[in-house]
Amino acid sequence: MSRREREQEKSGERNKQHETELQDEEQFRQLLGVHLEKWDSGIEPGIPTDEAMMALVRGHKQETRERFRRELLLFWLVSIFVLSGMFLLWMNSVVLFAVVQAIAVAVGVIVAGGLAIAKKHQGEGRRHRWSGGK
Amino acid sequence: MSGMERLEDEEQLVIRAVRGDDRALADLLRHHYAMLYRYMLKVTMNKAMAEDMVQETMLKAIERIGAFRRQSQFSTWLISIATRRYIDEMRKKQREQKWQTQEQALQAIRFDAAMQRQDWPHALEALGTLSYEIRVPILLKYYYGYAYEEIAAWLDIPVGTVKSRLHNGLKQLRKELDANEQTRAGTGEKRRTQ
Repeated sequence: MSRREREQEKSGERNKQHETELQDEEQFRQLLGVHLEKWDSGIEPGIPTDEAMMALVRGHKQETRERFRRELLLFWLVSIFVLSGMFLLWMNSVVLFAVVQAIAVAVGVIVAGGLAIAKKHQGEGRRHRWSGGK
Repeated sequence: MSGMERLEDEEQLVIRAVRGDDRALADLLRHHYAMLYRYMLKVTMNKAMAEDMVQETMLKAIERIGAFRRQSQFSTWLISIATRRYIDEMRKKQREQKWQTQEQALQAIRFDAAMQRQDWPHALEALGTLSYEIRVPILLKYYYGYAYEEIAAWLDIPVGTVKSRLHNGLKQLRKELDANEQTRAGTGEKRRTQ
């Protein structure tokens, strides 16, 4: 098959797909369009007042800032604890320090590898389920 | 106020909100509240869940407003947060215990429609019986007019899957409505012969 023929075939497929999409859109309008619009216009949500929304924004920003501060403090405390522990170990036994470092690196690599593999499998499983086995 | 002026106003509000202006953010969220609730009610077909999802979306928007890059409209940004949040929640499949069953939820919506003297057509009933994985892309594409690529990104699935779900979903809807038509026609025939 020549390049031109292949391009023509591809373009034909694209046109066909576009046509199907237009047909689907039209079918949606016929089946649901008017009903959805009518329902939509009848939905009357209770919109919060100005003051309530302002209180929500201020309150939640404050909460987020406090949570961030707490998490940062926790991070520093854990870091200081780990670093001082490692420092003490280094002062007492350099060999033991090296062993602990090597174990930490090995565990890190294993965990990272495991997570990557799990993520890959999860992605494949999800794609398979959603595509209806296609 | 013309549409253009409103758009410019909104852009100014968004700029101020991104810079940390609480008043601007509150105005924006209040302005989009109804749109977001209507979207969530259609997507979830469940009033309690729609309300929860709208609140969670508002909270997420307050947390992330500083990272909003204004590459899309504010409403699109809110819809993307809400859609991702809803899909995450449904994937956890914990909702059965937390919210009403789908049938109870649909009953509540039907009751509301009846109170407003509105019909609850079989087409909407059929939409409610579709799985969320099909209903969400159908609404986003055909009712809200979002692109396949946007929908695929929000649902975390390939574009081809979005297209096939749309096509199969419509086919399923059509089948459901045809079956209903036939049942109604059959019942009518029976009554006439009696």
